[in-house]
Amino acid sequence: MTDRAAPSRVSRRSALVVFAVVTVLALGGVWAGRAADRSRTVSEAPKTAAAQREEGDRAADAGSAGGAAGELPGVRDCGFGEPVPEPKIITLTCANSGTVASDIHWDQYGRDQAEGTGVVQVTGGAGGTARTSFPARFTLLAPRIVDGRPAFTSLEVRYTGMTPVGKQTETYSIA
Amino acid sequence: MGIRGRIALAISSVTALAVVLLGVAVHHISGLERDRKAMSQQDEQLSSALQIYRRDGQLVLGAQLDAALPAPLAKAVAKGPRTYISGGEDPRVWAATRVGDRVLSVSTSFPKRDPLQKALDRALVVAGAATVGLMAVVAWFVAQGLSRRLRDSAASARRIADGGTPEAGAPGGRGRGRDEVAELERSVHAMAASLAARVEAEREFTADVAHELRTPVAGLVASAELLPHPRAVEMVQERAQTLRGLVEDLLEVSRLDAGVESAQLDPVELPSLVHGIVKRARGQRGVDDVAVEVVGEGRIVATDARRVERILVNILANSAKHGKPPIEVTVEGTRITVRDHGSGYPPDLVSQGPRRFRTAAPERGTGHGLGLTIAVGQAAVLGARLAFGTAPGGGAQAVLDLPEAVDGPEPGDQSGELRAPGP
Repeated sequence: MTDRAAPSRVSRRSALVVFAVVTVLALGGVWAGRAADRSRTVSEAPKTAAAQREEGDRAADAGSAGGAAGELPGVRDCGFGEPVPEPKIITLTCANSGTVASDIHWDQYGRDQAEGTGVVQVTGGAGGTARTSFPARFTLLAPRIVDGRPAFTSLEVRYTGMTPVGKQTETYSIA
Repeated sequence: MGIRGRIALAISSVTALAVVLLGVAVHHISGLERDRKAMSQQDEQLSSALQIYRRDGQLVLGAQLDAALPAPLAKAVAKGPRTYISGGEDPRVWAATRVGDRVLSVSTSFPKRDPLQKALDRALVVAGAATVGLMAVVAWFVAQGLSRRLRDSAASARRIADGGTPEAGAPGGRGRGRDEVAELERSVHAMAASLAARVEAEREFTADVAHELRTPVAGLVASAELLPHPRAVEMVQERAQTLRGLVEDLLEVSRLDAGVESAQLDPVELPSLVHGIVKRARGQRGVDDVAVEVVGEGRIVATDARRVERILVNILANSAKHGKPPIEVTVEGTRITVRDHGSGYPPDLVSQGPRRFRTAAPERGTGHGLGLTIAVGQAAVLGARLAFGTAPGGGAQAVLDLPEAVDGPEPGDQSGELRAPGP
């Protein structure tokens, strides 16, 4: 009896091991499948949502803040409209609108010069995962009176990491 | 498959499984990360494009107004800004948001096969294959060490089983390490040593008893002849003879056990030797109805005729006592087969060989189980093989295979001495 019982116990254990392996593989497959589906679903866009909200807030503040800010030079994006002091976003290549300085935080904003950090964004290339944003330091220079109001006319961009074009420093003429 | 192969296979299989699972997980997670990164970048671009569009009414960074959106995105964008990866022939990653009544969106192509991911997959396959190969080799060597130690233990146990003595001082020298195998080695060695000691004690006991009994029994036989009553003399003599036979057998067993027996090899013609043995045996110890058949040409073999006779007579006596007539003896080449027409040898005897004082007869006094033990011992001294089995058609069958004669120039030169291989 004993020597008949041993092989059956072994085969039961093997069956258990095979079952466990198959279960793990099946669960892994289900997880992988569900995760693959997740990537095909619509996701939220938190940064755009934040930009939407910020725009609304600024519109509400516009009336009250107008007088005090008028003293400092602003930035006329691509030469359009009124100069905006401490802009969060500046178009760099106005011809094709393919390069934009955004998320700018001004460390210092004076009458002669302003300095801040942010990212330079370029139009997404082929591949979808090619890098599209490059951290940089921005310096606004050369304030002048344009259409009766003070405005900076030059922007120097110094990339702090990778660069989109190979040059570490670029100077754009704005306004 | 040996334990070495099994261990190597098991470790390699587990490694392969782990590598495959890990590879699939890494591939999958890198795919998810690529999706997430692409959507986050589109979100960032849309955020910048939205700010500029609101401020200046300009479309930057490839943003479009009221472009044809994929259906799921078009539906979801009503609830707020959304990103989406579309499938189909031209997979694209999208980000879209409402601006008043209009929809601002950016999209860029998102090929399914990413060169970076392809390179990662290739690296995973190469690293996985290398790991499995390496683990198989490592497992093989680890298992080889284990297997060698187990084989050593088994060989040591087998040596004891074949009658050898356990190696002196072996547990100290061989039981290196403190793992399970070392423990097993020590246990096997201890068991072997204990068994060997017991067997040795049994052997000595048999020899001592036989030797001590011999003298009083001889005296008893001689004294019995002096008794006055003829019937009493007959009875005492008969029992004393039986007792003497038993003592002689015991002495023979103990000599065979001690391995001091050696064969005197002389060239003999096997058929005539067998005929002579059967003739002498007929009428003794119940051997009666025996027929000898010679198949093929009679062979001359170099053997010890006295020992062959001892073997054959014991087998014949056993057949006469426990089997049924007729008993058939067949000589074919160097093989002698003895069969009867009884119920055959007990299964224990066929599988394990005869054992002293073990007999198939349920009643006591019909045999002491020494006859076949002696036959096997004598066959070992001759270098012959004696096998017990069942004859075709039923009945016990014993087959004695004598060794082929050593090729010598003259039959006379074939004589020599063959030592017993030991118990």
